[in-house]
Amino acid sequence: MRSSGFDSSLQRLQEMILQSTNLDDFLDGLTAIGVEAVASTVGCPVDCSITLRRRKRALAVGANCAEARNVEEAEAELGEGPCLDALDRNEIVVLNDAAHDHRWPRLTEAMALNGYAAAIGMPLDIGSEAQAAINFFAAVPDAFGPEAVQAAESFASLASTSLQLAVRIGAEKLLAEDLRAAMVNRAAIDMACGAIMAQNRCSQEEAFNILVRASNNRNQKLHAVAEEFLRKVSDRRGRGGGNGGHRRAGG
Amino acid sequence: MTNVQDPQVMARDLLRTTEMTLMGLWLRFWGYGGQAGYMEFDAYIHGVGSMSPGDIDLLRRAIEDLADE
Repeated sequence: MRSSGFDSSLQRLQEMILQSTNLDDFLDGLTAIGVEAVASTVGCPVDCSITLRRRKRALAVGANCAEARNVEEAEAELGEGPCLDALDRNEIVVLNDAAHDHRWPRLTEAMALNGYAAAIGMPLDIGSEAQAAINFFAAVPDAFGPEAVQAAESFASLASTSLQLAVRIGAEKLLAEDLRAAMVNRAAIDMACGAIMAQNRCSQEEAFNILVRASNNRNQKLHAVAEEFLRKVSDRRGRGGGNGGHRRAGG
Repeated sequence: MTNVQDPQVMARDLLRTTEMTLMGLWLRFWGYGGQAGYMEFDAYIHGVGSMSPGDIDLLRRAIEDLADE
C-alpha cells in the first residue's frame, strides 16, 4: 500500500534530483529523506548513510550526519560491514547489537565510537552500471524490528530509481564539462595558429608545429602556450605597437 | 619513460583501467588540436585504422597530461 509518507518521499527525491548540483549533494539529501522514511517505525533516533560503487571509479559516500558518514567511510576503508555485505550479496543485512555481533569486529568498533549499536544494510537495485547500498543506524540495540526493516526496504526501492537517474545525469554533466573544456582549448589553439600564420606567412601545419615546439621547450600545455601567445598578440595590438613582420612565436 | 610507449597501447590501458571514456579521451585529443574524427580515432586506438604522426603525438600528449592531473 502506498502511504502518504511514500508519496512525500518520492516527491522530495524527485525535487532533489533537479536541485542537487552534484552527486555528493544528492547522496547526502537522499539519506536525510531515508531517515524520515524510517524514523516513525523506530523508537529512537535513526541516522542513514549510503555507499555508491561505480565501475572504475572511487566509492562515493553520503550521510545525513557526521557520525553516520564516519561509519560509512570506515566501512569503505576497512572493507567490511553490513552495507558492503548488502552490496556484495544483494540482500538485506541486519545487525541487532554491535556489542554481541562478531561478523565485522573492526566496523562495530567504529560504530561504537560514533554512538551506534544497531544497523541495517540495504542493497539498492540501480541497474548494471553501478551498485549502491544504504545503511541505517541507531544507538539502541535491537532498534530495528520487522516494521523498520520493511520501511527501509520500501524506501530503498524508491531511492533506487532516483539514484539511477542521478548517476546518469552526473555522467552527462561530466561529459558536458569535458566538451566545454575541449572547445575552450581548441579555440585558443586554432586562434593562435591563425595569428602565427598571419605573422609568419606560413601554413596552418607549420603554425601548429611552432606551437608544439614552444610547448615542448617550455614544458607547458599546448593550450596554455596558445593562450599566452594570444595574450601577447592582443597586448601588442592594444598598445598600438608591434613591429610587424616575421617575429616567430615561441622558442 | 612514457615517451617510448606506444600511445595506442597507453590509450587502451587508460580506457581499461580508469574511468576515462573513449569520447572523453577523443574530446581531450580534439581540444589539443587533433585532426582525426571520432570514428578514425576509435579505429586507430583499437588497431583497425591509422592516424597521422601529428595526431599520434597529440594523443600521447593528451594521455601524458591526464597522468599529470
